[in-house]
Amino acid sequence: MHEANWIDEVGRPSPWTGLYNGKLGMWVFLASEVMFFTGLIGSYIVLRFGYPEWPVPGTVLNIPLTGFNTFLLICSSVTMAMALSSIQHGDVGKLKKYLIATFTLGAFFLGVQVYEYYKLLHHGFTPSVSLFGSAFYTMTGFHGFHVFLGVVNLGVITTKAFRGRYTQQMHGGVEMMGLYWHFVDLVWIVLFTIVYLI
Amino acid sequence: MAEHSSSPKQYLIVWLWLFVLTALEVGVATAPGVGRGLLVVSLLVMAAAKAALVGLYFMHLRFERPLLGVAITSTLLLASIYVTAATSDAPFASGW
Repeated sequence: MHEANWIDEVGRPSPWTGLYNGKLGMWVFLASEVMFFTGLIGSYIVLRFGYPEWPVPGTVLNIPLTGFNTFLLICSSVTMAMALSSIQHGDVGKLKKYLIATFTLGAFFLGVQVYEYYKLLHHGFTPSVSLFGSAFYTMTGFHGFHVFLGVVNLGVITTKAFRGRYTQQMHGGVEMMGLYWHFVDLVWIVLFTIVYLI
Repeated sequence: MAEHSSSPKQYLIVWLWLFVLTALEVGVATAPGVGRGLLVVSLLVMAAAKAALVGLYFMHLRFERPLLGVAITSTLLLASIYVTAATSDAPFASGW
């Protein structure tokens, strides 16, 4: 009986790509997500270009609040990266702490988004009030859904961490979770700029 | 496995840069008297810089083999071509 190691968990990396299957699979999935969000964001740019009377986003949306929310999501990306770094160095205690921090920050981001939606809807900015409204809720809604799924998965990963399922030799799940979470942050960085600021 | 990765110190430096760039973005967008062209260009450059930092250091693209980075950036190139092509009739559009 040999000691469990990385190759038992995720398999031998391909000599061509240097990636193990799960990581390659996650990257391929993220590439498909790039196409998905490109469709949404690209369409938004095209629509906005063709409609000069588009409302100025700053007059409708709460930029300081969402700027703060953007910073929160960035912080959660940092804690996720630190979680992976911790388990790469064999520190399970820090892994758990950073995963909890990532989960909490992600949940907080969602909470602020829900609050933002609540305020906007009550001020009459609904998905059907204008093209901007329709585009805004579609894009931020889909992104928020991605964050929600990410938070759910973070819960699963954190639970596994607390059950001692991750070691310095075996932590592929943490790495793959990290890739998804950073991608969600990356999409938000682009969305925030294009929808809220420009 | 995956010994090739950023150090915690690198993560903190990237985090600081991301914070600075976010604050700058909000500042530029909310400051009065900023020209439209300058606003759009500076915001897009800052967003691209932030995205690059997250991709390179948090997602470890800096430490993976170049093939992966090429695969990802080529999707972005195709996306830019698509958007540029679709907005190219803007000067001739008569509105909705």
